[in-house]
Amino acid sequence: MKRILFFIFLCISVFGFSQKKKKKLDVVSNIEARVLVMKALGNNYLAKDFGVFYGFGFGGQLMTPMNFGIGLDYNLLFGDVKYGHQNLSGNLGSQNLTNIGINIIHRDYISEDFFLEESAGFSIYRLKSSLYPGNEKYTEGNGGYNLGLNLVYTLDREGFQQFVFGAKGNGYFSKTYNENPDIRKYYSRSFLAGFTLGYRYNF
Amino acid sequence: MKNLFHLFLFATLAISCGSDDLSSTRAYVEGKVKTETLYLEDLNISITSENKTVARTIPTSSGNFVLSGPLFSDGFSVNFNEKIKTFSASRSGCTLSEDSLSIIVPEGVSYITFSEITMQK
Repeated sequence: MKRILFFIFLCISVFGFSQKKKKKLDVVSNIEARVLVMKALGNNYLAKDFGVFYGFGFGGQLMTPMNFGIGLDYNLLFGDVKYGHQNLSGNLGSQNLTNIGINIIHRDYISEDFFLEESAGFSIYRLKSSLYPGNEKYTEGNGGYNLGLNLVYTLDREGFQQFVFGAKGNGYFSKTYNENPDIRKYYSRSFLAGFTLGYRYNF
Repeated sequence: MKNLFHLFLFATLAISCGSDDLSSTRAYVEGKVKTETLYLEDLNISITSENKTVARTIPTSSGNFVLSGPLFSDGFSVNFNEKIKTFSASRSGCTLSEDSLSIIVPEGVSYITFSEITMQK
């Protein structure tokens, strides 16, 4: 299912962009570096047994002149198991949550300096931890979706540099299994919400 | 510009092809310990899967405990640092190990409740 979706996406992007080249329309691109803070919500493993996740990320976008575009995101978040919850997480430590996502983006211009950017897409999640004592790696995760709203402020007259303030909502689904459906749900589903602060360079 | 576009395509492909098996099982054990002479805080309870300790805890003052950890093989065992006399489990097929220190949970079980575990002391 995932692969089929990606393949369709790939075809659309290939044909979409090749068409535009012929018409001599400008596709602009940018790259972004960001820091982010996220907290899982609800009654689940990431919410109850973990504190706040802090991390950093990188992103890139290709924007068409019709204010639509696609974006690629990579975020790495670090979290800690709360004190007293070790019995529910197991002998696992130094958790990090990797999130790689693809988004469809739309822009709304508010003024000369500001614009709003809405994005929606899907992503791949990996929650990696190490089993102690020793250093054996344990990975769980699967996929999810992501929603974002960014306020972008243009720093210079040419529009090369921008600051990005964003709000983010991410759904997390993992393949972690348990016989009891409630326990399975507790360990395999979550929703994370958070804020991002980024610097963007257009070219 | 064109290079960036190719990078984009490459990244998309790389993501779609990267599939590792993530279907892992987590064990979840609940229980109540009964003892006559032992201090509950001196009792260590742990889950072992494929010779690895995947979770550990101590019971609360009422003797209850909850344990969860990732499994590396189908079966697992619940271990104590003191000898067990008897136990009653929500699932059948559990056996006491020869040294009476652990309860061996059969393959395929990932959720189990021990309504009472009585220690020898």
